Amino acid sequence: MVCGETQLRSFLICDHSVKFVGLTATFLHADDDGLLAEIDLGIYSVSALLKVVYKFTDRCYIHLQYRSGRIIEARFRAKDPQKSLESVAGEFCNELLDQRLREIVNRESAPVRNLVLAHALSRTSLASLPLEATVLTPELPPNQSGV
Amino acid sequence: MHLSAKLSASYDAEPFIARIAESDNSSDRAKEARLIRGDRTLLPNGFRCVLRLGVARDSEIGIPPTLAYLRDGDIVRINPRASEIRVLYRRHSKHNVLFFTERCNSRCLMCSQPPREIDDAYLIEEILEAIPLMAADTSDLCITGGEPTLLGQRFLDVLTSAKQWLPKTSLHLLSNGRLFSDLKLVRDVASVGHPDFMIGIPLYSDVASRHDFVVQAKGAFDETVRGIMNLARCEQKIEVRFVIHRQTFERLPQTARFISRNLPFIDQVAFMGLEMMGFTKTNLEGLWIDPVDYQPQLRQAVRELTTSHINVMIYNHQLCVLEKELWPFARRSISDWKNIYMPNCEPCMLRSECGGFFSSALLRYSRGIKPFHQPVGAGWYHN
Amino acid sequence: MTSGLNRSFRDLTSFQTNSYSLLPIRFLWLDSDRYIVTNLAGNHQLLARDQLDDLVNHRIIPHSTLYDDLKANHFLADTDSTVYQDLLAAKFRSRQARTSEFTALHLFVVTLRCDHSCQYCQVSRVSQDRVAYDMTPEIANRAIDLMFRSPSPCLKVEFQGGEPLLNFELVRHVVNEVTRRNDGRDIQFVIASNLSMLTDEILDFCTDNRVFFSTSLDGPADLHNRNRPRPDRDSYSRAVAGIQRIRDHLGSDAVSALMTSTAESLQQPEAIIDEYVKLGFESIFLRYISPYGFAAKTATRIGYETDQFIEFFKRGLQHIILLNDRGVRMREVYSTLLLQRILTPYATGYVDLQSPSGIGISVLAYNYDGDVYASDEGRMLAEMGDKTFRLGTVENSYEELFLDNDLLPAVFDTMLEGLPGCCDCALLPFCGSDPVFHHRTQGDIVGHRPTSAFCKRNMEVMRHLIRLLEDDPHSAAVLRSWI
Repeated sequence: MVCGETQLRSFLICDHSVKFVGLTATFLHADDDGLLAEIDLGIYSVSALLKVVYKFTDRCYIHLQYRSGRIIEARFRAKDPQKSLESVAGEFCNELLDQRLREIVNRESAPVRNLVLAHALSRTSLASLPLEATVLTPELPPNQSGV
Repeated sequence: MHLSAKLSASYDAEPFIARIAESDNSSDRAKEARLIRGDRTLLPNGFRCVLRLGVARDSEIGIPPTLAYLRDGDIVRINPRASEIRVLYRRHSKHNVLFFTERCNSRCLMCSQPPREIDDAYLIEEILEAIPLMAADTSDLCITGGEPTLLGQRFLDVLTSAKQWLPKTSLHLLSNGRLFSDLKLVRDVASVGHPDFMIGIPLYSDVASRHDFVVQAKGAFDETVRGIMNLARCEQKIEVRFVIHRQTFERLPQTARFISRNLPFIDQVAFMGLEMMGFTKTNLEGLWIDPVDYQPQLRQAVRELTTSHINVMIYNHQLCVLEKELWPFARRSISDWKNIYMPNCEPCMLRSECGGFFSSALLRYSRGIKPFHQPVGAGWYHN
Repeated sequence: MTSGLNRSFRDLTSFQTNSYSLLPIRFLWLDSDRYIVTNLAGNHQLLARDQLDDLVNHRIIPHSTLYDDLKANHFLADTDSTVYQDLLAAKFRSRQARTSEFTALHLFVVTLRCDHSCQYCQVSRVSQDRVAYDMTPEIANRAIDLMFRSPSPCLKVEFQGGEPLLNFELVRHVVNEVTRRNDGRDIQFVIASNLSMLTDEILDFCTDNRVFFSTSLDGPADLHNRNRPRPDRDSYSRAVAGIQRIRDHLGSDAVSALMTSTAESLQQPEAIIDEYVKLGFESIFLRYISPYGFAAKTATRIGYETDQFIEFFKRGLQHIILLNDRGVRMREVYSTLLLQRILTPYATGYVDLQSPSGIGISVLAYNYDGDVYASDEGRMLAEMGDKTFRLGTVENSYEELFLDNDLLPAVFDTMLEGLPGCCDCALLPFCGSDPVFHHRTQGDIVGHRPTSAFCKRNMEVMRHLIRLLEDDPHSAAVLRSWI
């Protein structure tokens, strides 16, 4: 299992119950009504959470609600009641970790990103010069869309 | 081949430039040195001077047999006080060099021409004087130094003069490219509009600090890369040069990838072996790696660039040290006057295809040097 | 001095600095322990999960090989250099450069009539009714007016149908008129035809005017004839004969072929590819069936799952790589397009893989009845009663078509950078949006990524290509030779 810098998020999944090795009061919990996750907004932002749950909307119905101060509850129900949510639990945790890394990257690189995009999209000095006019035209079949 | 020699005597006069004349047909005698071989008696009139290969007579200047190769149309610089003659240009050579300055803003670990901080502004004045004397059918001229762009306006003047007098001559500038980070200089170069001008610029790594280390100048990588981008914006032809040695070979493939990803618009990439001159001798233990030992990196780099449709040339490498896959990229590039072969090469079948060595290579060369003998079946085999 | 350099030279460490900052990157898992990491400019590198974690948390050992690789790839930066900003900007702009090809492809649907009744085609009509289904010269002339309003220096005029050769008089008219009015642009002509109606007269005209052909070839005779029925069940032999005649008249590069994969095709990628080799083609496009052209009633019969297509694609690609090993010149077009995006800094002009979508930007389709659509698929959809992608008619002005409609602004909203599921995806620099597909399959032009077949298919194909590039040097060498 991967530990981020906080050492808080390791977990193991056995059968349908979830045991936690980490130290926080989070966060996963399987019952007859699917899977319930408690997300600590001190660790993950709401936008990270929304992006993560979006990825599961192919397999699950998902409901989010505040439980207390900084805890959000996410309820996952399988669209197909025959399907186990075991893999969802694991993937959900990994995706949260990934999303947290993304937030660090996005926060830290935002100034450079804005600078580069401003530079790239500006009409002045660089934009009209031939350096950027190099377009490769691949040899496509002339009909791209069917006869 | 010697490009300079001592005169038979000295006398008190300013140094001057003259074109060699072997006949009296010329109309521009004031700029020419009449060359006489042996003890023929001639009474040439109006020439700048008379050079005699042999015993000099009154008012003639005697030059030694090492310069017997001088021909009509060659250009020499004569310094009477120092009793020196230097060959600046040879009419029938493809390796003529315009040496701009000894000054440089980098200090590369393997520089074959270590920079000196001296006032050598006279060099460029002589070049400007010599260009109109050169033959219009000169195929190639190479501008080198030092760092030629340090001359600023005088550098542009040479480009303009070359365009005026030698419009059919390919002009190749060797520059570290750093000053081209100034877009104005690049625009000035572009506005000269020389019809056949290429700029060779070294890039020694894909990592800034490693390139800066090799050229011993902080910030050089950024300046060079910006320079290359500026040149591309102004539609100049660009060659990227890479000297392979112990401090650069490991990131050869990554540097090739960097070029194909970031500078795909360049015209060609040249990979070069070490020339055992100048700082290379000073730093030999830190720089030497047997070319046989970097073939995998070189092959990977060449593949990366050819996949990206960038022309590749390999200079200063003998065929027997190159993997066969790389042979099509090998060029015979060493200037004729410093090109040699080893005794080992005597029986080699491929000598005429092979670039051979710099004369300085006697100091150290690859353990892989072996002659090729008769072909067996479709391939060649080693001794 | 350990480096073997004279003491007057400074050593490497004096040029290095010891802290780094992250540059904008995106990542996506590749397999159980590896991630694909990309930057704004589409540089990519694979990292193990812990390497990714180290990178983000500033634990990469300074100046290690991994550090140098990440730095040279513009995933991180330290203080010894700022030129990465210029390079990233230039590369990012190069990727966007295809917008300068604004409406480069102009489709003229010269008739809907056809002698074939292909099961996957919804638009064609087997009919003699020229009045109802042919484009008139007046409509064509108005379309040509519009085409010359396009700012692009290169125009591609493609004749579509139906079977365009059934209305060859109009093809001839358009070619002559466009040539006469050409204001100095580079113009290519292509007829998308089943070739069954090819005559010497047509071939002579096409030779004189450098008009090329694109035909359909679905595979071996059996499969082709079943997919593409015509009265004498001879579609295959007519297509093959036509290909040969075009090559004899116009040269070997004057005809290309496209396959449409049906459920039956999916069982036999090797046989389809071998058929292309046998007929002397050097490329094949292992194409996913579009959901536009076929009717709902046949969809179940010929449709298939994305998973099956991916399997088909992988098998086909492996077969093509084997052919390359044996010295056969053959490449797969979709892989080539993606590889160009993955391995080179250039933009590629494939309509279905652009962001924002290429529809309306790179393509205009002039339908036989004078309606103007933002893409070929859009006009096919219209034949099924859905005119979402109709921009107007040839009677409208260029400005009305492009400025006075709600469609194009919506299409611009399909820029991947703003889409949920796409904005964080490492494959974004290589991918595109397909609003027509998502409109058709999901009822909205943005689409729902987790259930999008487009997304799943592209992700799997790209992951597969990246795995081959990384793990299979032999296949990688073949793939690289295609770009």
